[in-house]
Amino acid sequence: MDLNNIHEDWEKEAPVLASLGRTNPFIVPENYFEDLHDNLSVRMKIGRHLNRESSELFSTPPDYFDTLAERINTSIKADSLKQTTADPGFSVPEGFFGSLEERILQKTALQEKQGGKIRKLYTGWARYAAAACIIAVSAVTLFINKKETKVEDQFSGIPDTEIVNYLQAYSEPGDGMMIIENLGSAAESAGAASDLPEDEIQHYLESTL
Amino acid sequence: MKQAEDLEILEKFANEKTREEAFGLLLKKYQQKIYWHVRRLVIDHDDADDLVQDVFVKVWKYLGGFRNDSQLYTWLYRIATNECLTFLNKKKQKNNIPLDDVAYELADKLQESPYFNGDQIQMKLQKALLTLPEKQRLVFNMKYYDELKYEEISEITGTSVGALKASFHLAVKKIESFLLKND
Repeated sequence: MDLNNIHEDWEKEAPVLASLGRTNPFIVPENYFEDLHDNLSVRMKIGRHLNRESSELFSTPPDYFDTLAERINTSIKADSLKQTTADPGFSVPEGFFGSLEERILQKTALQEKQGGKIRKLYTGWARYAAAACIIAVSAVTLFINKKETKVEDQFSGIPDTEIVNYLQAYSEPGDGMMIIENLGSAAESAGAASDLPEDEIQHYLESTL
Repeated sequence: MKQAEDLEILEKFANEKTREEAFGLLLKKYQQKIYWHVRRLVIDHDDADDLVQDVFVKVWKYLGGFRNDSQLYTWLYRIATNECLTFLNKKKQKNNIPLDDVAYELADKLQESPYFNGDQIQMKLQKALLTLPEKQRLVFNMKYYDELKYEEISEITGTSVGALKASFHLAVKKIESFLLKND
């Protein structure tokens, strides 16, 4: 095989390959090459934006860099000081922490035995006294209401003629005006339906006044 | 429409006002060549798309420093080739698999790809190509499909013309053997 003339040689040496021709079996999506320029432009714009200097995107407090070195040095010194003086110099008796829990528990048990000075917010008797007062007031109120109603119920059961006869028998001179006033209001509230005829009322008034 | 000359593109690119226009002209002239060069190496369209965009973003960034000591398209091919080889090596490292297995993975992608329009024999040829070592496949593609001269391929790959001729010859033999054996 002559390397200088290899182009022709290979076709002779590979007839199957040569017979295939230089056909491109690959395809691309529709409009791929038409859109490639636009896609690239977008990507490069994004790339330009991302490649901007950090100082364009972020800011720092005033004089940040001026004081940065000093603050770093201070931190380093503080850190090294911490390492050299890790022990604050205080000490405790031997076995202190080992027995601490037990001692605390013992003390709390002792306090419970003595009754402690635990003050309740509200004492027991005060609650009961308050409840008793409320019940008493409620009972009295109910009783009074019932009594008044009973009295009114009793009077409503008595016929008007009997009331008039009683008043005629037992009224005093000063009762006249009172009776007139009450008869007037009773008459208004009774309306047209009054049991006593008018002439009887008139007769009564003349006899008592 | 006549494509712009490389010199015109470089001159326009050097001027800030016409840089965008120059880039557009460059894309128009070379995008398909670069795309197919990449696609034949990585097989998958989406991977090829990503790599092509990476290539042209780099072109945009570094074209200003192009010294014209080589042809513009060999410079573009070199960038594209390096991007592809880096991509394939990363694939190998990422999945912790030998490069041969990367070839199997590419063959699977080929089988499943909706963007493959070839017949059975074309599929077979592509699978045969995937059995070749990467750089040998690269040389074969540039010679067989792109019909570049050995001197141009030498500029792109940094390999001597003699080595390239030998590599291509071996590739042809292997492919022919594959096509005949697997009938």
